[in-house]
Amino acid sequence: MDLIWQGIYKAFYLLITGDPEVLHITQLSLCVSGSATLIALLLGIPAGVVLALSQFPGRNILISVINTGMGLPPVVVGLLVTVMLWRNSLLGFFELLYTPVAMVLAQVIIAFPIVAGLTIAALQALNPNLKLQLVGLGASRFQMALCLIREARLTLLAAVMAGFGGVISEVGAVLMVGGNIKGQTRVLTTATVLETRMGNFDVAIALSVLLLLLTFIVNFVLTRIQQREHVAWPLLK
Amino acid sequence: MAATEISIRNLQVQYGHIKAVHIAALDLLSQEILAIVGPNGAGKSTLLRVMGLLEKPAEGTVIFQGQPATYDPRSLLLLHRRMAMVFQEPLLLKMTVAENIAIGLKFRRLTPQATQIKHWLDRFGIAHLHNRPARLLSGGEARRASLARAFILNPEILLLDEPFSALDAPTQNGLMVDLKTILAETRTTTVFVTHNLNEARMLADRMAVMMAGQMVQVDHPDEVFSHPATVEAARFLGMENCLLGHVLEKNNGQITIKIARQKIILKGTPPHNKQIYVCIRPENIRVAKKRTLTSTLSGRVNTCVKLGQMVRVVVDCGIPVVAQMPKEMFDQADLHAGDEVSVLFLSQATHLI
Repeated sequence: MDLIWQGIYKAFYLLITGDPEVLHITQLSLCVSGSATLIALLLGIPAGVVLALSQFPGRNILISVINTGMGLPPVVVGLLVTVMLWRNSLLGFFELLYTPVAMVLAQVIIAFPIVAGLTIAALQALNPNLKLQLVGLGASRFQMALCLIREARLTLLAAVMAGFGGVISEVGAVLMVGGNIKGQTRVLTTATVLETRMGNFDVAIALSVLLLLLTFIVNFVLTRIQQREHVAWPLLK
Repeated sequence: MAATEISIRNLQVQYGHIKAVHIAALDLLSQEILAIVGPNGAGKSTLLRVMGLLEKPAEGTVIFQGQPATYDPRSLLLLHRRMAMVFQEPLLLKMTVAENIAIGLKFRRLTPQATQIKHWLDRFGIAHLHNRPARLLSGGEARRASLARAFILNPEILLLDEPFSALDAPTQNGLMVDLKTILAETRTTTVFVTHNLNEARMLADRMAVMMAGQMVQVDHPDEVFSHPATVEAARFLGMENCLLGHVLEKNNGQITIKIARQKIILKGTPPHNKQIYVCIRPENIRVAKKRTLTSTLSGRVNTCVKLGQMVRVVVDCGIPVVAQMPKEMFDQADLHAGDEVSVLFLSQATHLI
């Protein structure tokens, strides 16, 4: 128990004193996972919209692949990206392995199915006649899709939270493709693993507390936006 | 003769192996209000979606103002923008009432004018709800908003799917009166689907009766109600008694029909076939203590059930005959279960199929 309190104390100490290494690690974590979430949203929402609203051969297979991808083990993604970026392989000439770009790429692969899958679920949860109603009022396909996204925005915010939560907390992929290089690719999760291995439990706990704090702040902001949108029933106010 | 706005030819809509709608021909005339009536599952809403080009039929053609509709996205969008569809549920978006009403104009890249929005909010009596989030509206208010959202587009054709369903009676009546007034002013060509016969009778210029995916009759509402085309339509239109009989004799406008081993003489012209159905509404049947008249059936009272100011009497004449009469008339007739009675059909209200 003392160890945990010591860790929490250490976390606040590191935060207050503004330890440059911890600040860099935190900043990199936020940058890598934030960019990955943003890219996953830019790719996942349109993909989810297309899959939710269209009918074409192979659609069900694609949805099944995306749903499977929602539970993709990060180490498998890490292995896949490492193999792809390895010096002699397909994308090796980019020399991206052990860089933050490789970490973003791995995290995009993890977050994309989560965002796309939840977008499909969110749009399919809307009243099926709403799509017809919008078309019946003269909406083009693009206008209809925008309106439906707008209608499903509360659930889509959950997709943002799930996507960000999925990547900020994963360790397997970033460790494999980033290499946990001090000052370059070390993020909160990989640093926590390293400190635990070295027996520096107080620092490991401190980093975990920071990770939790970071995740909480991001989710708190998103939840605030989500709940502001939500209109309570008058009787339950 | 009025121009035709939408014509349907050899239409077939199929869901898997099930034929949902099969209609040889239907014309929607300019400025008319056509009610499509039929029981649940008759294919009314499917037909409306096909007419609104929201669903592509398996076979057949939808002709829009003389031009067969094509289903390429560009042409469809242009045609959709000349019509407006209102669904059974209001389907308002998560925005204010005014924003909802303006949405169709925005789709057309037109700038919604505040006066225009106010005009339609006023016409449907919801001006005070202008800034209210649509999700907080009552069922009747939401229905009014969805109608205003369609009317503001000034559509060439308005398609309404059960516009008054799931509303309480006063709300339903108020909305029906308002809609009738607005339609009379705008002269918008309208198709509306309903299973409520009163709505159809009150609003429609013509009525189309659908049964099991087929169009069985299209005519003036009075004609449809007095002379339904099929036995199923007759039952749906309130002619609860459709009694199978055989024509024995035709003489000077009088027909002798055998129904359940009894003879009855009615006035009218029977169809050519020997086997006919005598269709009559319960309120057009009189039941009295036993008398011997040629225009009556004899039977025994089975049940008498009071329904407010009316009494429903079921008489066993070999086949059950349902009569409905005012309570005073029932009391005067002094009827009880088990009584031997005569059942008189009002000839002018009898329809032979």
